[in-house]
Amino acid sequence: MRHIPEEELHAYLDQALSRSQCVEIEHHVSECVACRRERDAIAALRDRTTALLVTASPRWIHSRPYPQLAEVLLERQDRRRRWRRVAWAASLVGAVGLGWGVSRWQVSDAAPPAAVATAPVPPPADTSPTDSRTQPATSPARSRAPGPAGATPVRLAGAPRRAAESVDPSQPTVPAPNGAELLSSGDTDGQGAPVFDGVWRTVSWDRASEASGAWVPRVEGVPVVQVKVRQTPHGGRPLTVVTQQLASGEVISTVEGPAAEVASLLSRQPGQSATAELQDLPLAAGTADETSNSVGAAQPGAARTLAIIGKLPADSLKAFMLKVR
Amino acid sequence: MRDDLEILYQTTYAAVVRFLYRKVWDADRAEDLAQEVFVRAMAHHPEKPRAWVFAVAANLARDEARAAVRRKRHLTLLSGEPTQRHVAEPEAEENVEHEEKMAKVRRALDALTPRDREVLLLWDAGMSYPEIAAQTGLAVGAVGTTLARARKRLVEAHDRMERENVRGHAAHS
Repeated sequence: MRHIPEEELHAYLDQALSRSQCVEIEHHVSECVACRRERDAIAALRDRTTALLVTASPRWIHSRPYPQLAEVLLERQDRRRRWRRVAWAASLVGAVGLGWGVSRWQVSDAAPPAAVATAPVPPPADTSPTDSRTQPATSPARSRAPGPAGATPVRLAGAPRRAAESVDPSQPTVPAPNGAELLSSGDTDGQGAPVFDGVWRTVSWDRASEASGAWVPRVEGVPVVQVKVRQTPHGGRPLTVVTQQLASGEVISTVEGPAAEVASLLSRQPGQSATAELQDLPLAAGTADETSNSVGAAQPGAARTLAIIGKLPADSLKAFMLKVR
Repeated sequence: MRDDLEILYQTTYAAVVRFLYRKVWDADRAEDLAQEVFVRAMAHHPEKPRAWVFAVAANLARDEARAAVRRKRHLTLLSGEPTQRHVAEPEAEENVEHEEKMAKVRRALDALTPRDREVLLLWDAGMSYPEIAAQTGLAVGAVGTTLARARKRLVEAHDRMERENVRGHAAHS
């Protein structure tokens, strides 16, 4: 005869078994003395356990009326709602501030694809330092000219705040390389400007003027943030890139150099989608001499090209081309 | 739903307080926690409110125990010496006797493994075997075995303390 396991008797007394199991156990217990004794012992153990646990109870239990709990909940939900509102407002302010900061400090990668405006430019026929048109920034006429950048200073990512704030739109502001020229491999431009291959030197405005024979083209009235030069394989006047930042934060680069090299550079610019040939347009900021020179000197291998690169519509770049000096 | 919860509150609140009291050993705190459990139940509207209520009560008691440990450690660090014990006011003889009995049961409960203790307290709170199994992660068939062991050990531990107490009194006299 199979005796009933202890745990089954516990479950039986705890009414945790099915009706059929209970009937089976009761039938067995009525016939088996050992199991009956075991059942009684377990029942006594169960009662003792219950009695001990009753001892370990608080002497009085106070309860709030149920509606009071509902009030607590409502009050809590109301408080949470208020906090959420405050948190939402705070996060909104934070997000707006962050967005404003980012737009001010960085040139977005999501800007329109770069367009390029090019025009043949005169070779350095007249590189005389006495020519006032080629003198950077110091010309009174230039300093009077209101630039498209307006009066709002624009900071670049990574650029020192004080330097950026002191930018005069009418003056070229080249970051001084502390006397030493910085060598870069061209693709390290972190300011949103186009990437140029080859070994470039970041130089001050004065050095750029010296290296290029005192003629470094740039868009008038827009703060200059960087000037780079690269020697040409055949010597002579180097390739120059003047990076300037508009009030909107966009960066434009004025490239000037031998036509073949400029074309080669432009062909490697990512996102280049439009090219505006400006041969038929007069260079407003230039002189008749310059224009005629460019046309006259457009000989194979000797011609130089001026191009403006930026993530702007081609029309805008053409407009800037008219302001190149 | 709210009516069901209200009925549950009226029928189960005392069991929840007792369940919590045997974990935190503070009647006021146990009541506060029990009320917190039901306020949360009102906010969540659980599908199985009874099981949910005890599960949340167990979690709150666990958090409470951890916080108590942290408080104790912090006080010890602040004072640099062991924390002073609360000296109770002279109480009626009846109260003293009750406290002594309760202290013995508490120590007997502490002698159980956490799982045995949990199963025993849940059963005493009126939970069914399947509910206990769901909350503790045991198989339903293992609940009976665990409960049998827990009951036996609790009574054994309590009787052992009784015997030691009697021997202690005899030695004093």
